[in-house]
Amino acid sequence: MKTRNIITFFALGLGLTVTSCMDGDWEDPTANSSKSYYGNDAITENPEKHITIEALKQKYKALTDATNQIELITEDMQLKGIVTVNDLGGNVSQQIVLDDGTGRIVIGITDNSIYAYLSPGQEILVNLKGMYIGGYGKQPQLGYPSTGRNPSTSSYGVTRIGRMPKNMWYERFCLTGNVGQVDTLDFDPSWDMDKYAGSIVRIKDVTLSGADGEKVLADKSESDAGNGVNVSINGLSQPVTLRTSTYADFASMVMPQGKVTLYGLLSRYNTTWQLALRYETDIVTEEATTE
Amino acid sequence: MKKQLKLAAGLICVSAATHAQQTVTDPQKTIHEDNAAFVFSESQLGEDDDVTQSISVVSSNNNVFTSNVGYTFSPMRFKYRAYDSRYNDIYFNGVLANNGENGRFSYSTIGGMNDATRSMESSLPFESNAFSFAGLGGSNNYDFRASHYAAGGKATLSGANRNYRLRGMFTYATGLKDNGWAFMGTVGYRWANEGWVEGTYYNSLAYFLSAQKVFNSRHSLSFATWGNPTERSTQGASTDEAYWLANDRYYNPYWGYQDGKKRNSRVVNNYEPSALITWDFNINENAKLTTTVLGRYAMYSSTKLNYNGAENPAPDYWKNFPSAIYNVWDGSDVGNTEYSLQSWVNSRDYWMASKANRQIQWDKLYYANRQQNLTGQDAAYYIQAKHNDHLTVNLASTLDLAVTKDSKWQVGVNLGTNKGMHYQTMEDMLGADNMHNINNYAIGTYTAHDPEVQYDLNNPNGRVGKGDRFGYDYNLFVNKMTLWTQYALNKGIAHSYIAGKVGASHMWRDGNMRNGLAADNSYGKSQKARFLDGGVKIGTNLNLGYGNTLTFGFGMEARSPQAYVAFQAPEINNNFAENLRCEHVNSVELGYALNTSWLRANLTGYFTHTSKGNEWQNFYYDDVNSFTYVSLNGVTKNYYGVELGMQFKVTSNFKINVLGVYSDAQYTENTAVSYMHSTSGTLYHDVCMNKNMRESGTPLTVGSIGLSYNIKGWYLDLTGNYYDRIYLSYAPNLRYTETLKNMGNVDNEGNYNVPEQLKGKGGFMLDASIGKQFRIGKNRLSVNLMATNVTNNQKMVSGGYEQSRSNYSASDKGDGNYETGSKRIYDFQKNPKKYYVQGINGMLNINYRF
Repeated sequence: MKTRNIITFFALGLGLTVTSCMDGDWEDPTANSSKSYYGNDAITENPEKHITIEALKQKYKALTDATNQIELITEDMQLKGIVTVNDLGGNVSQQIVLDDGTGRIVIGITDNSIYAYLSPGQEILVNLKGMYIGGYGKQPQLGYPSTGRNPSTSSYGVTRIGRMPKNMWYERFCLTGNVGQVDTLDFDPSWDMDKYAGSIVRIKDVTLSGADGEKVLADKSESDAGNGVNVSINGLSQPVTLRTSTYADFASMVMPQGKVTLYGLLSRYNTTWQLALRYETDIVTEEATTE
Repeated sequence: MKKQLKLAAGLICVSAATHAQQTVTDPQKTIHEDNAAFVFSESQLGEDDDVTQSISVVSSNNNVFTSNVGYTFSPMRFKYRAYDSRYNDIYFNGVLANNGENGRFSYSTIGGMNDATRSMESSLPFESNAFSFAGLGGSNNYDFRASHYAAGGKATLSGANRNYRLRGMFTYATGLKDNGWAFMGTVGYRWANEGWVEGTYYNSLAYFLSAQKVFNSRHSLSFATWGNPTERSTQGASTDEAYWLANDRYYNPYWGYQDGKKRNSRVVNNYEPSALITWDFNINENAKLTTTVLGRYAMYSSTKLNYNGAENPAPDYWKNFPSAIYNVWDGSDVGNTEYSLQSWVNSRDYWMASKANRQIQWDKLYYANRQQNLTGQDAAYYIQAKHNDHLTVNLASTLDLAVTKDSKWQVGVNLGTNKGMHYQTMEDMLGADNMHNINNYAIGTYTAHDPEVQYDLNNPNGRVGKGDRFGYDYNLFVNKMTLWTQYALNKGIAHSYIAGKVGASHMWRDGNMRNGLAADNSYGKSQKARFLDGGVKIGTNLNLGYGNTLTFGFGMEARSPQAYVAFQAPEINNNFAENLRCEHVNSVELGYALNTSWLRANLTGYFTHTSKGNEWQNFYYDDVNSFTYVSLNGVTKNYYGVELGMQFKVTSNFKINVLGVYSDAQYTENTAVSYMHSTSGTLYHDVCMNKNMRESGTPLTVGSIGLSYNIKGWYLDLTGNYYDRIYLSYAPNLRYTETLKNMGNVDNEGNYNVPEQLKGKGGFMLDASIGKQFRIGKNRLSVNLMATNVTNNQKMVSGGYEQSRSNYSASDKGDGNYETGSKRIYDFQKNPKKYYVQGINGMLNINYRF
């Protein structure tokens, strides 16, 4: 065998090293696609099925005002509204709030990254048939029944409205493609809870109880069974609790002393107002507001 | 000859086609000689799975057991004496080739060049040899001298249904020519567009070139260079529930459809170009000096799909399973209602409805990232690559003296320096525009503005794009030196030897990023750790006559810790692990061998005790949503067993092999543990109740009967193997005393109820092989078909691991304290991640020698 042939052959073999690879560059498959990768494209707007959030809440008021009552929605109804809050920030978790101008309702979803596909302002259609509705502290919620399993809590063995499995959610919503305005309302403690729970609000000129320059918003050692820490908001005629999850991105933020303006999701637990910050920027210190 | 060259070249180029090679950027994670080809089985190459399976290949023609066991039992990833492969020393022309940092040898780096690795001298733990102080798990010395390869050429074409589908190899050796030169070269290519596991592919080119000049009877210089750039995608272990839902025991959660095409998230790229020079100096007829210098640059990277604050995109993430909704283990669970049952049904139906539902949904990840772009947020999903590169230079010189006709004396030195480069890069942003070098695991414990969340304070909030380093970037330096000597004597009926070694090891870390969790202790050089090590070994063979031999061996060693286990959390800081000391290894072996005209038998018993060892692991610990770096200090283990090998030569054509081993390998004491989470720089201490945990991923009991028959150029082999006592690897954090207390696994007297180690599943496997040799003129053609697991036993589990998450949703109270919440519906302890052994598989080899 001639040396020349040997060298030629090895060169051939080594030449294979410079050609293209198997795991080559992958293109973004969503770049030129109108498909919704989350949600159900088969859903279309049907005015005959449409119900306003206010009408829905009225229809089930007795149920949602009661404790731990749930009901399967068997009627083919459809909501249309904009998402006002998602779970970005880690404090408002596994839920969205839908607002159609007539009212607001919480939708509980077992999904830790709803923000990946639903942003505040996006308008969606929601088919209600097959979902469950119930009240959590009189706050109406769409979701799925859930039974408490922590033996050291009072909800052990109790079935109430919880979050729906994400696949169930994906089958029942779709994006319309429209984007709306998320209104931030100035909080009024005398508001009707039925109407305003679920709003995005601003609360001006208040202080946070216990703020001493070191205490943080959600210290793990102080969290309750729901992994949250409650702080009273001072300076209002009605008590409002600021509730922060230890899983929030800003859980270890030191509570500002002095006057602050707070933004966030207003909710209720029975007859008490609660506020949940969404992001770190939802607490604004007084110096910033006067600038 | 020209025609043959063109044919072979054409075959290989056709198989390469559009699937050729990308040159690359860790090793983590008896060679059976049949007449067709040497074959390292895939499991011996350590390429079967993502778990760092350390493999040892031990073989000695003197011992029926060891000369067969490595290959025969490889489908179940048998490890010799259950030892980690760092106890198995591999040499090339007398120089140590094990990785300087983890002490293991990565067989995958010599995969595909079977003809080059054919010549190997091996030594069992208590055999005397001329190249080393034998390793606890044996030592192998590959001979890469060009003149030692038989002259001639060989072309091989193979088809298989294993990790790769096609293989082509071409080898040519000149033998030693009159002018004193010898050349040898081999090139091989292994390829699969899709291997036997769905979603995996394989693409590997191997080359080996060797040249030697024999100047005269005293001096000769050899040169060899080799490498095998490889790109392959891998298989992930999953749970029995996933296998049931997918109706496929080889369900692979690592791939998914992207725009209709299969894409795997775990791609390994590995290329370790190496070169050595050997000077053989025959000083006189009684003295020989062999000196070799070996240089290597290893580039290893492994990709992984990761997420940033989003939901885990793994299709087999525990929350995606039906058994996370309805308690399938305890029907009386208060959460088992008609609602959760319906939800379980929906989940099951979703899994079973289509393949796309149970694999990674790439399109969704891209879409999510596009949404992130709209608000200027960092990527929710991305592919990162972990790199383990090594620059290594080793030198060895051995003087081999025949002192008298009955005694030999060797003295040698082995020097090595290793620079290990460990870093992470952004491989694919999956359509996202933004990413910053921030420790997102720590956000929550700290705010986004705190310096603690910076991975590199020297470049805070650094933007990360494709190819950029992020997360961690550090080097480990190791310098080692060993002086060894051996004296062997034949006297009367005894062949005895005594060997000793003394050495030193020197290591340090050099960080290239200033991690916010260790601002003063991560960038730049760490302190330097120095260790003195050594050992002594004695052995003797007593020839009792009539083919009977008694063997005995005893050894004591103090081994320097590997750099791989020496640092507490090298991705974060410069700290060494606590209580870092030399590992003590004491071993003893007693054997009996019989060699007659019709029977060769070996029966060996061994006992090894190790203490003061260090072990290290890091894994994502779901309970605290962070990576955890775990160092076990003062590990104490016992390894013991009985090995039997018998070869009956019934006729000159027919042989029967019987092999068997019953062994055990256990931790004998609970072990002190120190661990750190990536969410904070705090170091915690505890005791890991791992007493009686066993070495995992290898069958501790094996039995085998093999029949070999040859007639008129035909070769037939049939082997039945039985495997049992396979254990899965245990999660140390589930056995910390704190965890056991939180889980309520301690009684009033303080006795802990430690979870039992989970087991794999053994069973019976039948292997067969048939081959024929033909003469074509002066040349030979051989065809060989090998089939493994002929009875298609798919129930066997060769390895896997316990999930590290606990069954309780514990609330993190900070400072290592947890408040136990409710018991989860999903039972992690009943859902280990397992690897099932491949069903019937085989390889057809066609060899042409000329």
